[in-house]
Amino acid sequence: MRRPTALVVALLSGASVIVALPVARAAPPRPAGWVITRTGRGPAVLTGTFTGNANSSTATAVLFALSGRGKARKLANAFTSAWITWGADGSPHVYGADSPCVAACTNPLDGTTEFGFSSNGHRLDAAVYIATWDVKDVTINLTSPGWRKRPWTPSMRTVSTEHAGDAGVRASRTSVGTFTGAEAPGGRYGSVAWGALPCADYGSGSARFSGGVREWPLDCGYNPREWESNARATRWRLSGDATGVDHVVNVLVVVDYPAG
Amino acid sequence: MSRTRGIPRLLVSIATTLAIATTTVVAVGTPAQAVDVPAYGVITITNKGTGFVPPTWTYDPAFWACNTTVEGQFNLPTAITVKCRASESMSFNCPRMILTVHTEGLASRAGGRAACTYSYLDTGIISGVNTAQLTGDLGRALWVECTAYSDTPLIPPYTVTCNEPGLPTL
Repeated sequence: MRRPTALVVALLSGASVIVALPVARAAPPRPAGWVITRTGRGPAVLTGTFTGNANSSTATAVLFALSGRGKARKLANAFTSAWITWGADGSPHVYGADSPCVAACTNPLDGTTEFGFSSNGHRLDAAVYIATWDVKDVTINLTSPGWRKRPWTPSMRTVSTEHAGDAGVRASRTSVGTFTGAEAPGGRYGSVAWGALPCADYGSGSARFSGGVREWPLDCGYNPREWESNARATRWRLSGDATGVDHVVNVLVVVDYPAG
Repeated sequence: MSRTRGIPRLLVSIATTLAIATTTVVAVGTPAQAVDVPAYGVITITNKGTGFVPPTWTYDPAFWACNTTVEGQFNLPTAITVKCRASESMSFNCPRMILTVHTEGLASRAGGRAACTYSYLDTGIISGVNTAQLTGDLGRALWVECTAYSDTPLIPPYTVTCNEPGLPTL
């Protein structure tokens, strides 16, 4: 579907000499969030917009809705879950090394950014959660009546390519290298997770995304992204091998359900 | 480019893509199983150039869960994907998937892809005032996915629809 540029091919060639880190680790926490709930009784249609800008190449945002209580909580399917990922910045990085900037180190990601979310015309009886990681200048506008928002500090984890035991480089909003797996724990009250095999633009390999209610096979060319939930404590894993190119840096994003 | 100049090009594009539609289904795994129910529904991803419009889908949320993934620089995404997964107890297929990509401006640029678990249709990237349409049997559908993508940022106005025609859904 998409092909790498000459620069990316050159980076891929160079990536073969990099030694992989054996252990995945999560990046330091930089979360923020909001909860959207009904002001009255009963379900209602929800529409709104989310705007925000990336503070780094690992910036990401997820939106999901939960209905029910306790271990019976589940994703509310009337709401379209969403995962937004900005991708690498313009500064070359070598996985596992504190490489100096070769190009300008300024963040090239500024700009007005907007995403529309909705219950797709369905009347929604659930709380909607918006969790962001390293995203700045966030504005949430609710354009349908009967809903309100309030701040929420999510418990969430992201694992990026360079922290996932990978070998390679990332630059010019693209990561290039060899993926060897990623994992992160889910919260005690349940969690939702998004997994990305970092070879959607070009490459080969496969993985299994586990930890949720269902386990999903991923492969580079055909099904490189999945999401899943679990109302119990779990450990999310993206297990497999792949070599390739992707404009996505985060390979695993986990957001814990709040207590309730 | 004016609308008048775009129409003949549009018709040529439709005729061309329809002509080759039956040869462009790409099978990547297990072949279709004939016992499934068609996954009637439409996913629409559109940007008319006036702001990000939420993608829409017509599947019944009682049986389907949908997720949107936006990748690339946010205000200029390179890929927008809507994936709708069927619940575990249901079994669907995509016997007559229609993928349509419509770009509506001189600078517009977008490609479309429709996938049903084991097979997909891909129009490639089109630009200007143009339409591409593909139809095919995509076999079994544990999930249905519709993607608008480009090798550069997606440039509006454009619309990508993935339509499994048939009975109306909720």
